[in-house]
Amino acid sequence: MSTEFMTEHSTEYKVIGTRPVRHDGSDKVTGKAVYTDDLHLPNMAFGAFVRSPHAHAKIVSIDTSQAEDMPGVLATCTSADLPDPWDKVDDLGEGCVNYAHLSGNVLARGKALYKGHAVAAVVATDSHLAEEAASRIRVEYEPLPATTWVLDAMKEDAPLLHDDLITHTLDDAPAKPSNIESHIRFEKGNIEEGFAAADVIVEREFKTATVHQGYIEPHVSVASWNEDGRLKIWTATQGSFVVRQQMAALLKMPISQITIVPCEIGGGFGGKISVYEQPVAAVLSRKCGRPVKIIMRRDEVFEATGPTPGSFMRVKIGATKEGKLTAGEAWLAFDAGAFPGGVIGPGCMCVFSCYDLPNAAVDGFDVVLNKPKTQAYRAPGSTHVAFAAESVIDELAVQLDIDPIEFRLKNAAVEGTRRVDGPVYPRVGLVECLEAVKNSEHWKSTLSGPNRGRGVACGFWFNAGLKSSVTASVNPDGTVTLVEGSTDIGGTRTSIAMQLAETLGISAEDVIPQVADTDSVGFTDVTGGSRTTFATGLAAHEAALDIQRQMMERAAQIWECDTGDVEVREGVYRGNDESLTFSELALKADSVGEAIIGRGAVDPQVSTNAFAVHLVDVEVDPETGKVTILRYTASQDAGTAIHPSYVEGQIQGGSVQGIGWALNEEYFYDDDGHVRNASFLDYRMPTCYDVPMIETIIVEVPNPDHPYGVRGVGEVSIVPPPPAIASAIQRATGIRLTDLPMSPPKLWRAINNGE
Amino acid sequence: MAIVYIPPQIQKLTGAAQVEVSGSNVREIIEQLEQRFPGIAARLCDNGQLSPALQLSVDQVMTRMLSTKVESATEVHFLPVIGGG
Repeated sequence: MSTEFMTEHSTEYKVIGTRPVRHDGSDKVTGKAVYTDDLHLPNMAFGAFVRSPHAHAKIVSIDTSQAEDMPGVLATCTSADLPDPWDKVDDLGEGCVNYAHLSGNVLARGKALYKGHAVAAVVATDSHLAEEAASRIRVEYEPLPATTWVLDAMKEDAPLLHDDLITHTLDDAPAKPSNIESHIRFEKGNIEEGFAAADVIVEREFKTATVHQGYIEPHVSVASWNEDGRLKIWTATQGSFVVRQQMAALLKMPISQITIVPCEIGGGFGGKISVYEQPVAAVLSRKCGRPVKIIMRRDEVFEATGPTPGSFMRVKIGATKEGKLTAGEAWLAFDAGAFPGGVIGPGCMCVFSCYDLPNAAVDGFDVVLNKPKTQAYRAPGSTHVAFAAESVIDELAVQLDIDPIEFRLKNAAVEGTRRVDGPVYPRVGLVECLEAVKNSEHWKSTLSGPNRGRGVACGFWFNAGLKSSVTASVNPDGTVTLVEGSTDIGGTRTSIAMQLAETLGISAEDVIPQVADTDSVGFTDVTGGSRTTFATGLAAHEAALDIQRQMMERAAQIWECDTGDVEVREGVYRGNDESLTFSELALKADSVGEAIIGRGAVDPQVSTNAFAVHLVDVEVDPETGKVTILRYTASQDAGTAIHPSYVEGQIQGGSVQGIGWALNEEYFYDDDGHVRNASFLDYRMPTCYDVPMIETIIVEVPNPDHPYGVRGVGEVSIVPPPPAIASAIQRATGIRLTDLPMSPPKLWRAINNGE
Repeated sequence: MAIVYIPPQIQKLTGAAQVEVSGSNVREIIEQLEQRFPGIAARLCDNGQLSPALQLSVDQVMTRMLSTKVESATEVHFLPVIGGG
C-alpha cells in the first residue's frame, strides 16, 4: 500500500492516526455479521412487486383476484392501500422530500411514470409463490409517449409527466406546467466584462449518462406490524431515523409507533436514504398479520431505485494569456427522474467551486422525465459538473501552453475565496492537494510510449454536519460501550470509537461500539454527506468529555478532595497525591456510586469543504477504443485522518466508482424508454482487474470546526476521475471526449472519424 | 446591519445584488426586506418557514432556521438545499 501524508496538524495523538482492527471486522470476514436478508422470523411471509412494463402509461385498472385465489397467497396491495398522501415537504436532513411524490413513487397512483415503476404487490408463504402471484395480477395500461433525454423533456411539446408541475423558481412562476421542475441562477461579478478581459475563451457542451451507485446488497426489508399497532422494520438503510420519518408520514402514524432496526448494510453511496420496499412490506404485514420480507431483484434495483442523473451541460471559461481566469458561464440541465427533487442545486454550487473566479453566471434546470427518481450518489451533482468545468480548464491550459497543475495553482480557491453561489471559504486545502500531486513521484515520473497520456483534475464537495447522538457507558473493567445512531457503511464504528478513546485516553480496543435502533439512541441523521466521522465523532467527543467530568467527580469522592483538585492527562487521573488509570478508576467508581454514562448530541451546521486532486496515466488501444488505467494517484484533504486505512479506502473506492462512471457505466435506454442492461452482466462496473492499486496521498489541513480537525472524506474522491481521464485520453489521442461514459465504441468512433 | 445577498432571480424586486438590512435574526431580516421590497418574502418563505427548496448560509453556518442570529456585517445567503451521498 503506497500512501503519503502531507500534514499541517501539530498535535501528537495516541489513538487518532493509528490503524486498529475494525470492531466489526471479525463478524464481517467470518460471515457472522447480520444483514437484513439473514433474518428469518417465525411465520415470515414474502412479498413481490408488480412493475410497469411501460415507461409512461395511464393505469386503467388493476385486477388482483387471480393472484388472491392462489393457495398460499396471503394478501395484495396497491396504492389504494396507502393513506392519501400529504402534499407536504419534509426536511430529511440531506435534502427535502415531498410525501405525495414519495408515496407515488412507492406505488404508482393513476400513472406509471417509468419502466419498472411499482404498481402493485403481493405477499405469499414463499418467495417463488409471491413472484408467480405477482405475474397473475392483471394491470390494464394505456401507454403514453415517453421521454428519457433531458433536453427532449424540456421542449414545449414534450409529454408531461405531471399535469400540475409548475417550475419552482425565485423568478416569476411560469403560467403553464412543464417538465422543468426548478430553475436556479447564480451570478457573481460581471461576466460580460470578464469575458472581454480574456485572451482565450473555451466553450464546450457535455453529456453524461445515468449511472447507478451499484451497491452489492440489493434493497431488502422485513416488516412486522403487530396487533398492538406497533410497526417494526429491519432494513438496510443509510439512516434509520430518516426511514422512520418517511414511514410515519407515508402511513400517517406516530413515529413513536415505529421502530427501525438498521441491519448491516452492503453499500449505499446515497441510494439507501429514500424508502422503496419498506412501506409496502409494512402494509402487506398489516394485511396478512405476519412478518413480511421483501428483497428487490438486481433488475428492480437498477430500474426502480435512485440512480444519479443524466445531464447536458454547456460551460464557457475565459483566461488571460498569463493564465488568470477572468469569467465562467455554465448552463446545466439534470434529469430528476420521474419525480421532482434532483441534484441540480449542488451541481450549480460546485461547477466553479475549485477556482477563484471573479465573474461567473450559472443557470441550472432540474427536469422530470420517464426514468426512475434520481437520488444522491457520492458528491451528488459535483461529478457531472467537474467533468465539464475541469475539461474546459484543461483545454485552456493546453491552449495557453501552461502546465495543468500550475494553471490550477494560479487560480485555486483558498481561504477567503467567494464561490459563485455566495459563501466564502474558511481554511481549505486545495492548494495543498495540488502541491502534493505536483511533488509526487508519479507526477515527476516520465510517461512514455505510444497512445499514452496523463491527465489531472480537481474536485470539490461540501460535506455536511447535521444531527448526531451517542451515549457511552463506562464498564467496571475499564471499557466503554458506545451506542450510536449512525449506520456503519465504511468503518465508522471504529473512526467514531477512536475519537472517544482519544478524548478519554484509552485504547480504541477498549471501546465497544454498537449501532442501535431508533428506540435506543437519540436522533441521528443519515450516514451520508461525508458527515459521520465528523459529526458523530463530534458527538462521541462530547460524550467522552461528559464521562471525563463524571470520572473526575468520582475520583474526588474517592480521594476526599475537591473536584477542582483532580486533573486528568492521557487517561490518568491525579489528585490528593494519588493517581488512577481510567480502568482502575472505572473499577473503583463502580463500587461507590451510580453508573457513569456520557451523552453527546450535536448539530454542527457547517460544511467541512473537501478538495481532491487526481492524476492518471492511461493507454488507449486505437483498434478497440479501450482505455487502460496504467497508474492512478489521488490526493485528498482529510483534515485529520482518524484511521488512515479507512481514509485510503474511501479515496480508493470513490476513485474506482469515478473511473467506472468515466469509462463504462451507463443505463442503455431503447426508444421505448426501457433500460436494456439492468444487470451486473451488462451494466459494466470496474473490478480489481480493471484498475491498478490507487496510490493515495492524504493531505491534512485541519478543519477549524472540529476538535481533532476532521473533514469528511467519503464523497469527493468520485469527482475528479472523469475529467482527469478525459484529459489523459486527450493527451494520448489528441481527442477531447465530452460524453460520458468514454466507452470503447465511443472512443473508437472518435478515433476513426478523426474527431 | 446584515448584508443580504439577493438571489439573481429576485434582484428585480430589490434593484441590487446586496442589501443592508437591520434585524437580530433571519426572520426579522426577511420581515425588513418585505417592508422595503413587497413580495420578496413570498419568494423566500412558505407558510412562515423558509421555502423547502432553500437553505441559508449565515457567515458560513448552513441552516434552515429563521431564528438564526445575525449581527452587524453578517452575510446572509439564500442557497438551494443540498443532499449528499
